[in-house]
Amino acid sequence: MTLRLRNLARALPALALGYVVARMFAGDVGGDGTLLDYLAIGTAQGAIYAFVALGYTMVYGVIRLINFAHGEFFMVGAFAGYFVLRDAGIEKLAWPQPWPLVASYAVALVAGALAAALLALLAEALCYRPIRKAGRIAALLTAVGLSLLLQNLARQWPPIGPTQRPWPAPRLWAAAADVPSPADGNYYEIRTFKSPSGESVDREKLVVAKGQRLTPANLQRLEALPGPQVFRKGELSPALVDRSIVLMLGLSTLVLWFLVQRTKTGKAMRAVSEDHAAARLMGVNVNRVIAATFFLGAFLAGLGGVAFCAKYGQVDPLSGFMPGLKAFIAAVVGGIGSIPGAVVGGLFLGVSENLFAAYVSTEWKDALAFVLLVAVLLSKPTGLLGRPYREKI
Amino acid sequence: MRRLLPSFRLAVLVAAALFGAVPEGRAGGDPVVVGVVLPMSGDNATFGEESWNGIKIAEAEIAKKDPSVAFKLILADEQSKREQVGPATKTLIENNRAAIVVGSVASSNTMQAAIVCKEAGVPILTPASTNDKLTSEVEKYGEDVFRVCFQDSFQGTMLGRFATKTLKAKKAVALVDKGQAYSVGLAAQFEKEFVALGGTVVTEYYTSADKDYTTLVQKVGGLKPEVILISGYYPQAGPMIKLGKDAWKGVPVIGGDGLDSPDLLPLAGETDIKVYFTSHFVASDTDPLVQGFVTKYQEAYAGADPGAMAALGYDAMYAVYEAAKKAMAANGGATPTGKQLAAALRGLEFTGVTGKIVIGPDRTPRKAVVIVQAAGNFQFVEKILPE
Repeated sequence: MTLRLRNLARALPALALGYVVARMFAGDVGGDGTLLDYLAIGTAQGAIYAFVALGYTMVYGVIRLINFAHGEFFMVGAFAGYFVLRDAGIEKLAWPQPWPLVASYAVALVAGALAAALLALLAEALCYRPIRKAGRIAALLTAVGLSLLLQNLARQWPPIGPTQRPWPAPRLWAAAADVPSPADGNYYEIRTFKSPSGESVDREKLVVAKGQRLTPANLQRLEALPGPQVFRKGELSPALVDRSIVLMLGLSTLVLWFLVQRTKTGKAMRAVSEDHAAARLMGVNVNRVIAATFFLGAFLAGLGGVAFCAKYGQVDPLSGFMPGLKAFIAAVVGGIGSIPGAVVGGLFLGVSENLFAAYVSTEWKDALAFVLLVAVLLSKPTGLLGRPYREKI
Repeated sequence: MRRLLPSFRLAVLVAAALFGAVPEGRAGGDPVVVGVVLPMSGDNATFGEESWNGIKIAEAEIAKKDPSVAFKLILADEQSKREQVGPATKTLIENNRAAIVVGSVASSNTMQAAIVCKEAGVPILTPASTNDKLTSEVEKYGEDVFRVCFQDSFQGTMLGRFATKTLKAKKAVALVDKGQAYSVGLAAQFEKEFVALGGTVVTEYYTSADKDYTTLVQKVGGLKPEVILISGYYPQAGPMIKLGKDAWKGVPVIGGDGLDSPDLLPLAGETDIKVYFTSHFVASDTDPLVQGFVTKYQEAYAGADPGAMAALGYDAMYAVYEAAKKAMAANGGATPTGKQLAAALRGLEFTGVTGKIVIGPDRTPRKAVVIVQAAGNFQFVEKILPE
């Protein structure tokens, strides 16, 4: 009887989740502020937390380190995606719409994920590996230090800078000569390459839109600008980004499960997680396994970073801070060290946060995450799906 | 001990030289040091950038046409952070010996600067902070806080009237950030007028630390308002409008001058929501005074249109110039001190690019408010003169 109840407790949320996701993909969601809307918002939000939480949990599982720099991997991934979207010009491809748009988003995702993953490899080799034997406190402090370092380097490095930037809308190429009559209701966008003080900037400035100010004189002025380019603005709707996030989370969870349970590297990871020394004696290359773990975790964080910033439309050096913190909470709530735990924790946090915001208070939304953390830790110290802690005598 | 004494004396001498009192009424010909504190980075960076551009244009113009008054501008970045404003202002006053401080933009930040200025006895002139308390709470912010912009009691009232009379709305939702004095003040004034005209207002709160407004936006959509007031700044308003694309079903959005930024439209994305805001100036205004400034600005800054912050920065610099001229005339041509500048600012009258500026006894000018529609670019809707 108790067994059945427990199965039910697991099956119900899974069924509810399936229902919400199905409605999301059917395009039924959004607009009226119904319970379904809030569940869908929470699921999409939770999926991003889950993406980041997976990295926390994997690294913790393997070397018992809370990698506080994980939020910065997220931010670096977001910026890599930002630069690719802004400068690579994939949207100019002569494919039928909306494929250039989708392709540029996909390339941005991959670039973000790779940038974050490479940074993680570097961080592991330069910062964590040399002090691995110095104990967990030293590693934790290194992680906090690395997090602050990356944030401040990003602030200081001119291409990023301390200022928040609007996420670039993928632009669809159009020559200035193609700008149609003022009656055309489309948006046009001009990129100026010189800033007020002379250095080049990327702040896109909407000069002409809805035809209103598209006078011949205006057009001439635009053409006289240093290298003006006129683009039609294309845009991915938040709803589309939401769906891509949920889809990616589903796929990544499956791939991760396969990697960890069905491949040799995965087996080695599990072995290292059990016991470093024993794994080494059995011929496992521990350094390689740890590096692979960092790579995978940061890869997911990079995906999450690009998706998050594409949805909310802005990016800055602190973009990774709040999502990183929330994802850490999600990982702990789900049971740190457990891969399904990270996914469950992320979704649980995202959904409860947004339901709370919807029906209780938007202002106290961020505080709820911490309250949940305390509540879960009090009742289930190892998290929702954590393994019970066995005292070794 | 004996050995120590000479070095101690030296230290005292050095300290006296460094921190010694500056004689009143410096010799003529010395530049007037203007400390400028603005958000050049962080959330509200476009406010700082535009204001500074405006100030620089005005300064270059003044230097060309009137060599009798020289200015030395020193810029400090307050990073859009409240805790950075005090130290930045202190540095301007103590290290750079600013006779007057110009800044900042967000009201909560200018309040911090005003507290520092009050302690140091230096006047402060804000180009764009509209919260009423800055000039009304004298015991907190001092007697020498001046501004070249209108205040929220005027702006909020006009928003209330616009929502009722032009948009014909009876039911409003106000989005308020309790952490920003500007947001709270503007929404309160709006509500007062809107309710007086027979409307109802529901208030929802947000925080600027939050990046995800999806649920908030849904909730607002579910309240079925006829108009939505976003009382705050563009880094939050832009994403809210973007997320409201589906949920708000074309309900018009209104806001104050905090929305007046070139980043608002890129952040809001392509939308069919009608966005209106009150401001001080808009480049599409056909007034020749405005167009003159637009031309100057476009020449200086690669064809970019100036926003309201640029125009206010320009006017603030002119206010300092006019005050300095007046003070010099009253003091026999000596470079004016902060006290003299403050005295000269009282009752100052001149015509700026944001309208005629008369700094009355409450140190706030009565000025026209411009209603702007943000649809692709910033379009002039109407200009309302104060009674």
